[in-house]
Amino acid sequence: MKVVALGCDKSGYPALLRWGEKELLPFEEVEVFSIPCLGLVTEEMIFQILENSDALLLAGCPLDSCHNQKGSRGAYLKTKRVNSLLQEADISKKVAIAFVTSGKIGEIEKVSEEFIWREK
Amino acid sequence: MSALQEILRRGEFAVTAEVGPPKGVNREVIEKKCDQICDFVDAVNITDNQTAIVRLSSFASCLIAKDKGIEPVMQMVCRDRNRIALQSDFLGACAWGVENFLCLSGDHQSMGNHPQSKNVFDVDSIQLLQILKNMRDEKVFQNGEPLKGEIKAFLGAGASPFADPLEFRVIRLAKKISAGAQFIQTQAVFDLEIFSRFMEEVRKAGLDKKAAILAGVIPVKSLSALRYMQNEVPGVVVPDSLVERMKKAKDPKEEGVRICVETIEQLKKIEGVRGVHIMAISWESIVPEIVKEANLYPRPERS
Amino acid sequence: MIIAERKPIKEIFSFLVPGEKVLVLGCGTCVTVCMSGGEKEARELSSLLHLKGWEAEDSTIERQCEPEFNLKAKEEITHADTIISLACGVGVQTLAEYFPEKKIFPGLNTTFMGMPKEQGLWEERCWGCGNCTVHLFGYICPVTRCAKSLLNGPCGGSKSGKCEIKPDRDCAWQLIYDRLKKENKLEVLYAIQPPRDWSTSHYGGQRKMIREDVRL
Repeated sequence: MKVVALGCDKSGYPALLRWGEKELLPFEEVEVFSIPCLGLVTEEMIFQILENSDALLLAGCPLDSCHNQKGSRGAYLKTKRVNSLLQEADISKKVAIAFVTSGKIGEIEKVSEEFIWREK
Repeated sequence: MSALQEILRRGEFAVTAEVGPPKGVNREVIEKKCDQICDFVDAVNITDNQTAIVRLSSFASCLIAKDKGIEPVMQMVCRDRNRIALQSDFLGACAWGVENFLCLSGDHQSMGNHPQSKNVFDVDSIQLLQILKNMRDEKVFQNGEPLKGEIKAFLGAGASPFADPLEFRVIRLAKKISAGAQFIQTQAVFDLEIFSRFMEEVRKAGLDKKAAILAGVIPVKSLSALRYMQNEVPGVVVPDSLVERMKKAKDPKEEGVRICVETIEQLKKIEGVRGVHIMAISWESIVPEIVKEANLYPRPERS
Repeated sequence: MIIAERKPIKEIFSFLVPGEKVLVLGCGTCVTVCMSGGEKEARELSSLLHLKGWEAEDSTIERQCEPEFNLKAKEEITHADTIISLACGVGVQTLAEYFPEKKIFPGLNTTFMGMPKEQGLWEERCWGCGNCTVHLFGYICPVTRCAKSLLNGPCGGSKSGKCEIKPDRDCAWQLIYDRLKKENKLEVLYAIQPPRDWSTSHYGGQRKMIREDVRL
């Protein structure tokens, strides 16, 4: 399974890097990228990424402490919307979003487990 | 003149009831209900696909009722027929000797058993009253063309004293009477205080002198039925005190009848109330007991 | 504007044959504003089609209800095997009229003429009766907004300002009453509105508007 992970500069990306350092990641391929803020993510971008991967993992600041105030919330709503479209169309790909602070990767691990569950 | 009109003209306290036709062709259902209540009412309303559920038509059921010697009130709703059909059915019913007509808007089809149907609402109940009045008095169709023959019709309408906006209800009643309503049957009364206040406004506007107001009552069989009235039926207000009474009742049916009878006794005392309309939904058999207990039996002789 | 909703995705897929080249054609006017068939939605649908294995592209033109705009997309239209039009019913039919040889399917269900009440909420306001008299009813159209199109006041099903048919529907007559009361014009409601002439509405048949003064 190929997973693309996109994290915001402030919290998500550092957390993703920590997560990526763990040896036993359950996916065949993981690519990690940074973005200034999750608020810049659009549905179009999500779809484009999913055309070349099996799942997209977004990591950003917690909802109530987004560095740019509404970035995380915006990404959360878009994630929800895309997932409902994918579900309606019976497409087994998925987007997940994790809200993290740069040190803590537990949320990322938890969220990425959803991908494995879905694959099964 | 219809028997109902005559009784009201004589100043008697009128009693009408409601009969729901069957969901099929068995006329015996109507005949049996008519037999049960015949001696206890002055006229009986036959509902017109009430709650937008398809039943034997009001028109046909009225003829069955007439056959049984009971005077029908044909209910006509605006939901299913346009002005062409309404005028035509009115002529048909008059030709068969039906003399009482109740004009209603009609429950929306989404509430019934054919929610996918189109509705009509070409005219509303007030416009329908005007149309029928002009057919009777001016002998013209809605388009102004003359019609042939004498029409005898006693026209009525519904009233919802408890529906919102409350302040507008008396005005709407006035419009119905101005449009041609000679008798009014109200939505069920459970809250006598609100109803008394409504009647006070009605009297102030002189409407009680222009039309005969028959207050509606519904005997309920159970606490859940009363709660249903309270919460689900628009235009019905049930005071909590009655709900409490039903809760404590040892025999809910008996309590329901008692509440109904007590309500009728109180209604008789309200100036301007010229009769009572008993809507014993699916419980027509209880009408004789209610009429007797409310000291409204025997019914006055018709001339 | 005209409000339309995207058809269920599975219904759209059911129009298509595997291996077809699909064009998702968006419309830049009403359906963009109500977020059902604009450029963004056309792109999304196109992406979903890719993910399902179809060869799909998207394009959005100003308005599909005007032939001159449809003709601008002639190349993409000709190139595609099937077109999913994300226009309202007017646009779909116009497109089909000017490209009679193409297979075209509607991607939206056109519903009503309405306005955006708030983000994500659009409400019907006009039914196109052909004889506007909203000024008689406190600027609230009873033909459209009353479930029974009553013209003489509310039925007995009005409860706490809501219509009996659905608890989230306002009773138009409560709104009319409130508005006229606020403006001290309640007496407007005392007059009996006569039966309406419905021949100007859709009931009189498909309508045309002709302006001789501007015809060439």
